[in-house]
Amino acid sequence: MLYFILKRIAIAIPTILALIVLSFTLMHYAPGSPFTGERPLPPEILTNLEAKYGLDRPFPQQVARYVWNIVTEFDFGPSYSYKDRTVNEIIAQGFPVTLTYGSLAFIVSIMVGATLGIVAAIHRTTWLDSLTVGITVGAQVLPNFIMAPILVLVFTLWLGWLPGGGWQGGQWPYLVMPIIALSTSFMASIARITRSSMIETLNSDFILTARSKGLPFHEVVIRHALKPSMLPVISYLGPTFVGLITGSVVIDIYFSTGGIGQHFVNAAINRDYPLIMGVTILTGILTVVFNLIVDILYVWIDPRIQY
Amino acid sequence: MHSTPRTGTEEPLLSICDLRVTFGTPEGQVVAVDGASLDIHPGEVLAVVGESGSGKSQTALAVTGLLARNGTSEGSILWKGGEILGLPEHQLARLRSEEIAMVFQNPMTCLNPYLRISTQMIEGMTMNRKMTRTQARSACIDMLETVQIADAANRIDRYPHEFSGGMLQRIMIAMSLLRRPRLLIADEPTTALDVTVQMQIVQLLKHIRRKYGTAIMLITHDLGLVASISDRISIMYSGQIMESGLAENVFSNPRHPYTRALLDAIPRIDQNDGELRDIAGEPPDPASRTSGCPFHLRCGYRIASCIENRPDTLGSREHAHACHLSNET
Ligand SMILES: Nc1ncnc2c1ncn2[C@@H]1O[C@H](COP(=O)(O)OP(=O)(O)OP(=O)(O)O)[C@@H](O)[C@H]1O
Ligand SMILES: [Mg+2]
Repeated sequence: MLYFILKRIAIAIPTILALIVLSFTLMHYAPGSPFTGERPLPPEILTNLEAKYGLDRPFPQQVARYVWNIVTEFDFGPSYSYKDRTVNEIIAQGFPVTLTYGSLAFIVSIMVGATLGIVAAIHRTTWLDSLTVGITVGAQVLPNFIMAPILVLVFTLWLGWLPGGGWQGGQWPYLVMPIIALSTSFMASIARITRSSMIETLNSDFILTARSKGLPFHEVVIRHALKPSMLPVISYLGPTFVGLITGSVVIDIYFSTGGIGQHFVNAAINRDYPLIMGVTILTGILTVVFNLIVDILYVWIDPRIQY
Repeated sequence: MHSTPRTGTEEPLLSICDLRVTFGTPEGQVVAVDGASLDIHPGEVLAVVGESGSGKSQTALAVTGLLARNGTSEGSILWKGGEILGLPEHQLARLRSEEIAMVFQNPMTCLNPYLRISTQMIEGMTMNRKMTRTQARSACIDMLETVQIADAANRIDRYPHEFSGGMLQRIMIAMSLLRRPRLLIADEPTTALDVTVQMQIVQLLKHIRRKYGTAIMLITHDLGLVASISDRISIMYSGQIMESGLAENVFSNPRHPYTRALLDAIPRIDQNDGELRDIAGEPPDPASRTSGCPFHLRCGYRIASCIENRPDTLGSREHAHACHLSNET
């Protein structure tokens, strides 16, 4: 098992390096430059700027320096558009916000989704099942950019219960709507996946064996059916994670939470290449690490997997 | 045919009377068991023999209350004289845990692949008996040794995929015996196994009956396999009992044409002409029961009343049958 984990980490490191080099190359050859504004800059100022940010050096040297700074100091360099601020500073400010409501949305999606799915599967062919299926089918067609305005309409404008945006250090009234808006569709997908895999598991022979031992039904479900029926959910966690990251861009903008997504969009508009790359690489690293955890989880759950 | 045929003076352990199991399906009602009766006395081995789809498994599942959701059972199932059909789930669970154990056809899929053998064996022991985990564990190891799993102390912590089918079935049997059941229902325990392993499992069941005095309901479609172990035999066809009685009576003096056909289908080493004599035709569709004797479509001795009336079961516990022809002669 330890060997398996080490092997996976050994593969993850070059993946991340390749990611860094690739995003730098793409940005380098992207048409346009951060300094092509509405009014063209005088040539001598442009030369000065390029010298300041090291853009006058040959490409390989630029790549090497960029990678070196990240690997040794985790330094993504200065931002082009926010004067006198480094990419690291901007990330340090926005990232915790996104991470807070993002991970809460992740947990809510899994907990609520899996619970709904299990309840529906156990009470199959009763009204409870039909209700859950109805809710999840409805919720699945409600992506964050539709959920967000609906929530604001109901809870801010009609009921006046929750603030329509802002962050305020992450107090709970400011958290509620971002979390619900972001998690709804994933929660619904997880509920559906859990339901069908639980139904399938409950039809297995080994469930009949467990019941024939006289275990109470809830113990049969918890001890015997939970693990196997969560495997499809675990493979869906990777896509969920990526979906939450992209969804957070919408949430950050819609609710003005000050999260990293907002900066990312600003950076794209202003062609702030270091910031774009910083955010891209960071989310890339997170995704790689996350998939590593999922793989380990898989091997840990299923003893038949050879590694 | 076998050592100690029970005479039937004592009260039966299990007594099924006129059991009917039906399933509601989108296509209509399926009658899986159609008025079957049988009983098992303490320590007795009853073989229930019949072709695929004859309702053997559903009879067993009805006894332990494990029918599929769309199934209902009617009639009477007495356990030690008390009605258990329609008992609430928690009482049935208790019955399964303490008195009636089951072993199923496919050992490869009947153990949970995600849990260690030890986990699966120990669970349910620590729950109902006041036993510590360590005590339960050593009881499990002892039981594995009883079913001849070598090096049980080490292998108990392995996962199911690390064992062969025959070994898994031994483990299943060991697991079912841990709670010292009065009755073991073995539903085709050898069908999924190699021929060489089949006989070993039958030997093991014999050994268990001798050692613990457990009554066994042995379900199979292979009449030849059960010859050496069963005290009594019930022949099942299309959800009904065609013939039943002491094993030697059924084997040496079969009265129902279906039993004779089954006996003819047993492959013999001494007259191996290379072909199996299957019974011609198909069993009737359980979704559309016909009147009369269910075997009349395939029976070579059919007379007019076979098509019209269902034959009564005549005879005693030693030998009974349901056939118009034999009833008349
Ligand atoms: N859940 C169900 N819904 C509808 N029909 C069912 C259901 N379960 C079993 N049956 C039907 O009941 C009939 C009897 O099945 P049963 O499992 O008792 O046969 P069997 O004698 O055990 O056969 P086998 O040797 O194949 O195990 C079959 O025709 C089967 O299709
Ligand atoms: Mg069966």
